[in-house]
Amino acid sequence: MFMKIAILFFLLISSESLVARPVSYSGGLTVMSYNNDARNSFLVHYSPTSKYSIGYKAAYWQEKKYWLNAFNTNYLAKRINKKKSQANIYLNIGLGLLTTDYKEYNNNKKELVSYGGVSTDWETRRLFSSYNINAIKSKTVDGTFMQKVRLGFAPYLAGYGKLHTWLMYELHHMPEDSKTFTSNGVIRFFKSTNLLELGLDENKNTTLNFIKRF
Amino acid sequence: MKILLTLMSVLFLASTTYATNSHAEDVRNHDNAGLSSGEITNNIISVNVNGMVCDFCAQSIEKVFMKREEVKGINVNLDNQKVIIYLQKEANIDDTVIGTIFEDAGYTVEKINRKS
Repeated sequence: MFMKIAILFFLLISSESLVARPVSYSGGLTVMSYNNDARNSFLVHYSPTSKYSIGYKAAYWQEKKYWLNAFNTNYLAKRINKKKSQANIYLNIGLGLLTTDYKEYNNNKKELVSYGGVSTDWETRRLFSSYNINAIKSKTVDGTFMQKVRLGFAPYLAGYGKLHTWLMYELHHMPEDSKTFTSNGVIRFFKSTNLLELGLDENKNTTLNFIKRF
Repeated sequence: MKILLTLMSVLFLASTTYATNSHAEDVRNHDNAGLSSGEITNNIISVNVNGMVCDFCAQSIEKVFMKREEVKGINVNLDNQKVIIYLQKEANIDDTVIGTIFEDAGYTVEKINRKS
């Protein structure tokens, strides 16, 4: 029992998912939706301070045919503010319920699932880079490790409140996949507190991501 | 897929054209004292900010300051990493409070100047 708790704790502190800027300003509410060929996810989080956020995450993994519903926490471990750049290190953990009615999993299965991860980013007004390392683990259905690198470039510098455009390249690595490395081209638009991303990977799969901050 | 590629190309070209025009407008506005929100007054606090590189994230600065009753207007300038806060006549916000507000928004203050 102790061993299981220790493994769960390790997974919680050393892994999981995603996104740039998962912590907002003090009192900020953020809604995110990430959609690609592997999964659709929806996350809403609230930041009591600029150091951490708490929220709820729902995701459907199409390939694995299961739903995930989890409480999600992000923690800003380190931020480095420079005159022309900003760098961040975030930790992310989540704990919830995985549900599936897929016959390969013996139908109507529900089990505890945990995930966690570390993400870093560095950006200037012209350049962007990020790296995420994530893992998700449930008792029998899933145990996935993945990592992702993103490099971005702003073709023009827009003023505050104007339409910003970024061109990004993303390399995704998931060892358990039949194709372990996947390249994805992403175009990101944002204006004010709305962000939209459209992507196309080498297998012609599309990505549609959206973030709204209140 | 062709439709998506075409759509992405059109959106990219449209956004760069739009941005080029709006940036030129920004430069003209900046020369005439810029304003992101609210109204301009003569009681001014100018703050040099470190880490203010992302427009999407910097929106929090405007949101937080414009909620304060002392503040009449604000201008956020990503080009020179400077925030101009326009206060009501005779109003004031302490440097420590300003520092805390920026810290809560995720930034660090380099320098604060006042003019009234």
